Amino acid sequence: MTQPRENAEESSGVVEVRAVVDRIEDGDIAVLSLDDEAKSQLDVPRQQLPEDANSDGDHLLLKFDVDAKSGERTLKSIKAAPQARAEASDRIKKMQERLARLSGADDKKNFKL
Amino acid sequence: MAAVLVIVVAVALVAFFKFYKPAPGPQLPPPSGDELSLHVLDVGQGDAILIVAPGGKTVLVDASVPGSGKKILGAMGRYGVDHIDLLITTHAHADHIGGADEVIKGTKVYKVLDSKVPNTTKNYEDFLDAVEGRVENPGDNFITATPGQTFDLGSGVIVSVLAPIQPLFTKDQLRSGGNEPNANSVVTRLDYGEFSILLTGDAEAQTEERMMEQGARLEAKVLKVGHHGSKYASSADFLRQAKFKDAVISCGAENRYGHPSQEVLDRLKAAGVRVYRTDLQGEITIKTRGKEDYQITTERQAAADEISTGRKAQKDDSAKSGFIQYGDFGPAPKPSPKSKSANSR
Repeated sequence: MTQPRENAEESSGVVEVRAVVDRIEDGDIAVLSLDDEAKSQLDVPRQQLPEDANSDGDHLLLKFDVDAKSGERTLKSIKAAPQARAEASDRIKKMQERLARLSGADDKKNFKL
Repeated sequence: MAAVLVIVVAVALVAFFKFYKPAPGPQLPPPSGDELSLHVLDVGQGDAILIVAPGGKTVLVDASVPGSGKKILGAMGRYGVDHIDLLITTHAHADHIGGADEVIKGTKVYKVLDSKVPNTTKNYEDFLDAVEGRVENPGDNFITATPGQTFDLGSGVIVSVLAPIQPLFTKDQLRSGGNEPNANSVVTRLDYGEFSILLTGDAEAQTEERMMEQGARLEAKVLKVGHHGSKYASSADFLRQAKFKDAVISCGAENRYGHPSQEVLDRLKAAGVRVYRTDLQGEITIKTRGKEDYQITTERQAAADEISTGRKAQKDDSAKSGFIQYGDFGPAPKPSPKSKSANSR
């Protein structure tokens, strides 16, 4: 898997990566979208997510230990990031409202392509 | 005189019940008889279905995971498609809209049909950005999916919207395993003469039930199986009512979510539905001229016992350390074929 963009602090063998719960597959496995250029995906058992951030759209902060020799990264902790979720929600709402203001199609029923 | 009247009424009643058929939904135009092709692309654990109507109109249903744009645009090139007339994004999960921004930026997309149930992910933001920036007149061409809408592709091909049905499902109404984007997936059907296919996104049993309750026109020749064959989709009642002949499951060979599940494969088999799987057979192509018969071909061959064997979910393989090694979750389990006698059609 692509390594995460070093988008936050990286010191003393620790890297923090922002992520979002894209979805929970069949109630068991959380599919996380990482905030890196490749939009990497990480699957995590749902029970490892914080109780207050284990649903679609919840934002998280992941902390990895980085092995200095091999570069291998081990996930050490997952924290909820409610502020990031609120900000994303606000941005999306504004984008949707902007598009809705332009809209004239929603009452139309039959479209000829 | 009274006896004659009784006989006339009786004959009229018999004739009515013999020949009456419930309204089939919108009046469907006659098929042109030219070829329509539908390609269920092999895009790993996601959905991307390219439809090319006889007159050249095109529909793309979903755009799979991030990074799939190149593959989808490549498939379009193979089939001589240089634009998308209608992009249907069934819901805002990354395995369905992940490559949508790449497609919108990589080709001309004229209309986008979306449930507009958001997900607070970068994928969804990038998708909205692309719609706003690249789709001409997005106010009119970014359309909220509503049952009853129809999209006329010409040549007798009609795409109709069946779901999401208002009021949308909310979090507190969801059953075990469910989530709002899946439950409110855009469900459509395509009709071309005698041919029809139901395209269900990730709709699960709860959505299927609501469509049945509302009298949605579900009967179709082919089913694009909901939610990659999840055990929570494709209920026995739904399969019984819709009377599918064939079903296509779009899922990844390395998925660890248990897709398709053995339960769904068993239900499809019990309903007499022939199954095709992208994880085992690669790209699946359906061709029809709008007559009773249609052809399904696959990129690769797979044994019947493989096709009828589900995958097991790999719920937690992190027991060793208590945490997951980044990028090293381990390969998904491979299906182990059951005996032929138990699975052959």
